[in-house]
Amino acid sequence: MAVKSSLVQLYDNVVYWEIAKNTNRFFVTFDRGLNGIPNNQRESIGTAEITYPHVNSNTGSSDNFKLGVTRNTARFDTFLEEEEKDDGINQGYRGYITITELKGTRFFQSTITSSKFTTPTYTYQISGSNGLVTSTRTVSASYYYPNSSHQLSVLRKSPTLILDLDKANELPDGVGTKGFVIIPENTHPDIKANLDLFLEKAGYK
Amino acid sequence: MTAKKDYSIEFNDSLLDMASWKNSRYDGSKIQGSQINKFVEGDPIYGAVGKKPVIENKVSALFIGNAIQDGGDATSSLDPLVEIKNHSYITIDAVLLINRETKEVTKISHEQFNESEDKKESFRRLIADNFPEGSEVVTKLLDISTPSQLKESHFVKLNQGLLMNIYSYQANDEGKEDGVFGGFGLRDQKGTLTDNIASGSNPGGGLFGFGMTFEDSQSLFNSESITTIDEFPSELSLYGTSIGTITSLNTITASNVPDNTLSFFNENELKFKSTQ
Repeated sequence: MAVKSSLVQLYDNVVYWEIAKNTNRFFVTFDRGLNGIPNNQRESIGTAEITYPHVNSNTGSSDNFKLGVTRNTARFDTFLEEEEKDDGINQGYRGYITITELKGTRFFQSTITSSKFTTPTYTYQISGSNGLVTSTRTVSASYYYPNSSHQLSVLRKSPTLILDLDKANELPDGVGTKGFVIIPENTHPDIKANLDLFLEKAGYK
Repeated sequence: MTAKKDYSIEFNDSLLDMASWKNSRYDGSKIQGSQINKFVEGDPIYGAVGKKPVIENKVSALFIGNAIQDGGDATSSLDPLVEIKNHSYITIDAVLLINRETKEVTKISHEQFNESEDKKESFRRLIADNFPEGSEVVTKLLDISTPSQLKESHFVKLNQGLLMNIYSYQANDEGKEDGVFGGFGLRDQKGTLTDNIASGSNPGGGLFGFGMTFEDSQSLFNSESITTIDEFPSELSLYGTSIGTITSLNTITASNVPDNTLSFFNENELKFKSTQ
């Protein structure tokens, strides 16, 4: 069944729900991996793992939400902030505070943001039984702000590395018929010194 | 009748503080390092080798692969991987475990680890342990007749797997505020979000906003700015294959009548799928 056409539904029904169930991990990559802080780690490609909004309704000891197959089995206010649940109706998507959390304590900076952070105030409109409610949040925006083009992805667990290897420029003719060997930084010096010998023994030469 | 000996011995406690007494037991018997395989300023220098890591853990394995993919185009609904400019996804197919004493080489292919979820996980952990984020690797083609301009070394940016694209959002270039941001804290702590405070010397979780539901900003989210992938990755097969086309941030506007019956998925259908 198709996602109804809104990002809010996608996040609430699929992304947050999968994270809450611990069945999948989701990452956001800003601006195609450019302009991250140059530390050669994940931050340098503008990629961060997200989690679902940990609001009071699901962190209190007495009112944890129930995990099931679908989002519909959970409390209506599972991912909702205070203003969003004033009339007790879930998944109406009549406005939404579209903020969630990044996982971990990594560096949330980029070379785009001119200072360490800036403090924009965002406005959210929510329609409920009390009519139209306007809510604001002032945040410390520092990670790819402004110019926040981004891609959302789900992690496919596999023995795969992301390297700063520009395939088009570095391997214009591909990898050939035999593949390639990757040598970790901390490989024992004896192995580095006798690389051809070991590759030959394994049948790669 | 039993013999009785008197073991009353006088010991000068101050001896315990003498360097000659304690050096071999404490001060001289251990050194500590900050990081494995890396000398950090402030770490003790020992022997005659200069600034050498205190703790070393060297790898006795080589890793073989056959596939290098780039991420394609973020604005294409057909490219399944997240585009990261000037970066590639390198998949490892086999590990050569090397016995440095006997020079024996044992090849273990990825397929050999595919028998169970535990074995798959152990293979992935082997990769993650040997290629920590930020570490440097050397890549060499095994077919020397294939020309290449490979750099001397590359850096590992992610070691967990493939980033399967779901959607991409292209920000406007007119300076209009869309509410998309990454950051590290709510300034005013409104609402009931928790675990989002981080600043200064008290780092915590970060924040991500994917749009602003204010009326003026909603129009920035449309079929031009959002590109959804044609098919959901298999990780999300529970939800069917088609993601559909996302053309808005939030479909229901303020003028709509509240609708509690808006059901995102057919729950019975999903339950059926999950039990198949």
